[in-house]
This record gives sequence, C-alpha cells and structure tokens, in this order.
Amino acid sequence: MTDRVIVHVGAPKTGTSFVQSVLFDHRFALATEGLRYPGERFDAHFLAALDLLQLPWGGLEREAVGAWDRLVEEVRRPGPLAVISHEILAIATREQVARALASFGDAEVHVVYSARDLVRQIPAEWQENVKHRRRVPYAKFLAKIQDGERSSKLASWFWGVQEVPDVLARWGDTLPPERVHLVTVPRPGAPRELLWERFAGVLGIDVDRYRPERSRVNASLGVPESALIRRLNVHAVDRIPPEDYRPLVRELLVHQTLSQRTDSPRLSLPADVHAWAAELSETWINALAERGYDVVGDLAELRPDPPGGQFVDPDAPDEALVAEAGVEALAVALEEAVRLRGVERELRAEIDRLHGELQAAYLRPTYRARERMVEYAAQNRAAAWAYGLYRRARGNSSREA
Amino acid sequence: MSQPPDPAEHAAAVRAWAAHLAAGGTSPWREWRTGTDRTDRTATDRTATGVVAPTPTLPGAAQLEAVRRLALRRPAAYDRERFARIAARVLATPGPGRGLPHLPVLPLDPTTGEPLPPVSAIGARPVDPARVPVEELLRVLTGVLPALLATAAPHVRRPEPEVRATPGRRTARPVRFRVVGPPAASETVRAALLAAGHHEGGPGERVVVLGLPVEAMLAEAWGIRVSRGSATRWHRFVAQWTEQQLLVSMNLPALARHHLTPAPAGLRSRLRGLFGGAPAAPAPVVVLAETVEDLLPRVADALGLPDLAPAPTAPRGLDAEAADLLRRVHRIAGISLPPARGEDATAAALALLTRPGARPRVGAPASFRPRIEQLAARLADQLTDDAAAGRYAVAGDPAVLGIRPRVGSAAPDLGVVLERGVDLVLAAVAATPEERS
Repeated sequence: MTDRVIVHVGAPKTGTSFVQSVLFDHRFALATEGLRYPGERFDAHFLAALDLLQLPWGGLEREAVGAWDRLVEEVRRPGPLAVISHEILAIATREQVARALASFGDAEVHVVYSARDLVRQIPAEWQENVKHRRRVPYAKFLAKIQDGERSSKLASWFWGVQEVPDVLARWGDTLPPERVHLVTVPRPGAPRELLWERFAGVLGIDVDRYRPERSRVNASLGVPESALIRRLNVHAVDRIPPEDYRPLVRELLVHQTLSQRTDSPRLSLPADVHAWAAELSETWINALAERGYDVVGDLAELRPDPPGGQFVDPDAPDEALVAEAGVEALAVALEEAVRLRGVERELRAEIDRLHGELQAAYLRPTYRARERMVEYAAQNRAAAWAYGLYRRARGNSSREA
Repeated sequence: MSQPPDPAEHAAAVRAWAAHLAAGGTSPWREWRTGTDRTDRTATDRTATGVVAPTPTLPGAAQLEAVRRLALRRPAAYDRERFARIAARVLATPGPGRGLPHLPVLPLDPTTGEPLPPVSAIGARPVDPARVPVEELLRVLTGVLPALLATAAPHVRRPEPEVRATPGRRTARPVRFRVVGPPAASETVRAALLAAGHHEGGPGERVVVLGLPVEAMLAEAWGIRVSRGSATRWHRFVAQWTEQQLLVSMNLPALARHHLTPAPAGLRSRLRGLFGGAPAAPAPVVVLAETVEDLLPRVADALGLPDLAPAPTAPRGLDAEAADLLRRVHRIAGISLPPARGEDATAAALALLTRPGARPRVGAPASFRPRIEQLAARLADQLTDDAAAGRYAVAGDPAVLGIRPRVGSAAPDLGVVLERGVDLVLAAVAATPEERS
C-alpha cells in the first residue's frame, strides 16, 4: 500500500496540462525518487476520471470501462507517494469522491486544486467549449453562467469545475483541512516558473531538476480565431465526427495553427460581467479564508485585476481579422488534404497490387469452374441439390449466415 | 424574511422522506414536509430503515424524486424489500454523464410549506424534487439501468420470433417473395405474407421494395439502429442521414436496381440449357404507401394476390419512447460495462421493452423539412425515371415519399420515456432472482 496519495482535481485552464506533462515525461526518474505517476499512456488519468465520473466523451469512454480501478491498482502498490491528476475530476459528486477516496485504502490522501481568478477563467472556459465542438455564442455563454438557477448543462459544468469553494468542499470535507491544498495561479506578468514552483512544492519535486520536455499546454486563442472556430462549428460540426474533429480541428487548426497568432485581440469580459465576477470572487475569498486549507500562493490572487483595455466582442469580431485567420486555417487544412491524398494514392497502389495477386489466384481454371457452378446452383434447384450432395460428401455442413 | 433552515433538522427531514419513499411511500416532498400526508410515516420508516443504509451525504432531489416515481408505478404485489433495495441503489447513484449537479432538496418551512433561504450561496441551488426536470430523472435511472439489465439478462425470457411460416397453412397459389426496405414495415409485410402461407426466397422470388414517407423510414431506421446498440439521439440521427449520406433501407431506387435479374452470360447460359432452365426471376416492384397499414393491400396487388391480412401476431418492435430510453441506456452502458455485459444489457432491455406492432412514430423537427423534401424529391425522380425506362415497376405515387407522416410530435415524449424507464427498472429487478433474499 502506498503511504500517501495526492489527487490533483483541477481546475481546467490552470496549468494542469503542464503539470501532467512534467509528471508523465519524467515518470521513470520520479519513480526512483519515490513519486509514482501511474499509467502507461498519457491519457490514463483522463480515462480513469471518465470511468469514475461515468462520463461519456465522444466515444472515448469505451476505452475507459474499468480504467479507474486499473489506475488505482497501480496507485496502491507499496511506495511513499502516488499522484493522480486530471482536471475533470473537479466535477465529481460527493458519492464519486467517496468512492475515489475509499479506493485508496489506508493511504494518507491529499487533494490539490489549482485556481485562477474568475475574470480569466470565464473567457478561457468559453474557448474550451468552442474547441470542443460547441456553437454557443459568447453573450449566450455569459448569460447562462450568470443565471442564478444554473439550470443549463453548460452552467452546471462550468460551476461544477470552477466554483472553488464548492469543488474543495466536495473533495475536502472528509479530509483534515491541512491535507487540502489550494494552489493559486499567479497574476499575469509573474515569472513563468512561479506556478510550477508552487505545484512542485506540494508534490515535493525538485523544480530545477524536473521541467517539461515538450509543451502540452492548452494554448489560448484570440478573439477572431475563437470566432472563426465557433463559426466552423456552426456550419460543419454535424459533418465532422468527434474522432476526426479532435486531430483536424482541435489539434491541427487550433493548437498548431491559430493559437500561434498572438497579435490578435485577446478575449476578456464586458464591464458589467467583470464587476459581477469580481463581487462573486470576494465571497469565495471570504469563504475560503475560513476553511483553514493549505493555500499555496495567495488567496488575493483570486481577486481579479481591474478591467484593462477595451472589450472586443467575439460575437461581432473584426471581419478582416477573421478572414485573415480563416485563410491561414484553410491553407493548413489544404496542406493536410494534400498529404492525405498522397497517403491515399500509396494505399490505392497497394490495394491494386494485392487485388492483382488475388485475381491471379482466382484465374486458375479449376477455381473459375467451381465458382460458376456455385453461381448456377443459386438459380437452379437441380444444380442446388447436386451442389448440396457434393458438400455433404465433402464433409462441409456449414450454412450461409 | 424567513430564516435559513437548521441544517440538522433539514437533513433529518430529508432522510425521513427518503425512508418513506424507500418503503413505497409516494408523498411529494412538500406534502411530506408540511405534514399533510404523514399518516403512515412511523410504519413506513420502520420498514425502510432496516434496508436503506444511511448514506454519508444527503440524497439528491433527482434521486429522491426518481424513487418516488418508481413507487408510483410499482405494482401492488411488488416485493417490499426488493423495492427498498432498488430505492437504496437509486439514492446512492449519481446521475451519469453531463447534466445538472447533485441537487440538494429545497428546505421548506414545515408549517407553511414556503421555501426557506439557502444556508449558503455556494454550490448547486436547492430545488423542490417535484420540479426536477424529467431529463435529470432519466439520467438517474439510466445510471442504474445498465448494470441491472446486464444482471437480469440470463433470467429475462426472450420472446420467440413470431415471424415464421404458419405450420400447415396452405394457400392455393403460394408466391415466392423477398421484402426489403424500412425495417419495421418490412417485418410487418413479411409476417403477413408468411402467415398467409407464402414462401420467402427461392428461385423465381419476387422482390418487393417497400417505401414510406422519408420521415417514417428515418424513424424506422433509427429504431432498428438503437435496438442494435446505437446511442444516437433522434434529432442527431435525422441530421446525420439527411445531410449527405443516404440510408441503405431508404435508398429505394438502389435497392430495386440491386435486385434486378442479372443478364445471363457465357457458361451459365449453356448450363441452364443443359439442366432444363431456371425460372426467370421477375423484376422487383417498388410499393409505396403513406402508412404501413396501407402497404398490405398494395403489396397484395403487386404480387397478384386477392388480399393480404395482417399477421395474427404483429412483429415486436420499439416505439419512439422505448427507443429513446434504450439509446440513453446504451450511452451509459458504454462507459459503465464491458462490451459483453453491454450486449447482455441490450438483449434484456429489448426483451422487456419491445411490444407487438410497436414502431417509432415520430416526426422530424420542422427545421429539417427542406432537407427531407429535397431528399424525397430526389428519390421520387429516380423511381419515376427507372419505372419509365422499364427497369422495374412502381406501385403508388412517388410523391408519397415527401409527405409528412401523421405522428404526434417531432421528438419522443419525455414523460412517456420516463414511464418506460421506471417500468424497465422495476421489471429488470423483478426478473433477477439474485435480488431475492
């Protein structure tokens, strides 16, 4: 049995991919120092989370059946420390949390949740929605999350993963508060390493020794690029299955292409929503201050910066910028189409070659005669009877399906 | 201004109501809390508390209301302990998939029934269980159904296939036939022909391609796909199959052309001469009608029969609501069960949900009408052209493909889907001997 388990439960858009990347890339070296990051695949923790949460996810869930138990089996092996990390764990209900914590047996369980101020989280979550095939306009998204009843699925998900005091209550109410670690994301302009240093401090990792080998950071989009992808979803998402959307749109267009355009206007909040989010943040900070959690960073970092710069509306973007982004995306999509046509040509040549070999085998005179007899037996009773006799004599009693 | 509730008192009231429901009680939360319907409270509490273990967290409003709906449809003879066990299971099951969070029960003033202000502004908002959306109740039920069905599967009696030739039935002039087209309509016509003593397949068979309005054919195809494991929503299915691709069972010209007699050639002709010749298979006939019921007399005409009565037992099928329930079960079975157990769950669900003569009667949303009309016009043109060219016969007006079927709504009725879900939970538990103590 492992001595200690750290469960990192989110939130999305707070550097979780970055942490998971470091842990996965260095998992063998970390294991020699007593930190086990289980799973042979990078997405093992994601699949385990889908299983725990019973969450269908565009067909991926079929791979997730039993994934939580498989991951936990590795976690429970003897050792000083094991870490589980995925941001969708934040949505877990109390029953699911209870199942998760119970699965760790007698290990000392710690929960880590990283949080960023709401004014940065709200636009980031809308972008995440757009990158996941959704078509909801920004204004509608903002209206839904401001609805006091939270009656839409969208609002339910948003608050389920982003409402810091509630997520920590669900995950931490049965744990001593000192085992609940709230890592705050530094303000814009802080040194890039600071967030990693905070995470590393909780996990007990040497920050100088372990850094990401490759970037698996969730890149953000500008306003025209977000508008472009949302429009693409409106027009084409029904025609693009999830398994194709992931590599072609999310990876190729969003992560590899459009997120590189860093000169376009950035997404922010309208003034009234900013004021509402700032007020809500104060209630959170007050509630969290009373809980006695281990705050890594500063609760004040959850207080949004005052509004800066003009709000650029992604529902009414600068069309010239959208067109510019569109042309770039089209060029990349065409390059990909050219590459895939090349692959198709190669495969066709291979099929033709195999087909030729097969035909050569079929062209033997005895095969052709037998084939014609079988065809004829389908049309003629006498021939069918004779063919049946032949098959019985040959000892083959199989029937057609 | 009311004061926030005493959390301990509210929790005790919720637990007492949960025990009342688990014992088969059906009082809604408001009536229970205000004491207008608590006559049997002590007795029911005692019965249920022996079975329902106290959960570490308070049961949610959706779970509690789902149990109340189960109690409302529970047959009088249903075993009480068995019901208490399934209630406990439902109360402890979070709604799977995406939806609303665990919803706390709305605190009420026990004397006035007025809602009390929430203790905290943080977390999911409390709701009156009676106002939990049906979608959420279904979510809770589909959280328990896959495992219940997979466990029940070995014990559920599978209905015998009704579609077979009637033993001993002789008809003066039997015909050889093959029916293709929309699945439920094809089964109905096939059953009628077999029941009348005609033969399916064989030399000289007459292929009958059936056609209904495109919307009706889409609905039938959706039903059959769901019965084979699909988790696709009806609207998504319509969107998918009216965009670019065409369902095989709906592509009537392609079906008819596929069954055209191939031209004899070479060795085959010579052999035919040698064996005395095979009867030439007649060209297929496409039979079109507005409803499945209207198809039967037209098929009779097409085959040269005096009449064709429906089979004594109609083939079993899923109506739109049962199909919608089953696709929800498949969605959650995909994440909660290994494939083999998932197939067991589907088989048990089909045995318990299918009914003789049932088929999905649901229309497409109005926004899809232009696409459907375009598709119907394309199919009708092809049929007309092929018939004019003498490739095959068409019985009925191809314009029937574009008409809107006379169905109630453009989506399965969620209230009925919930009833089917409740009944399926009760039936699956009742069928499972392991549940008996």
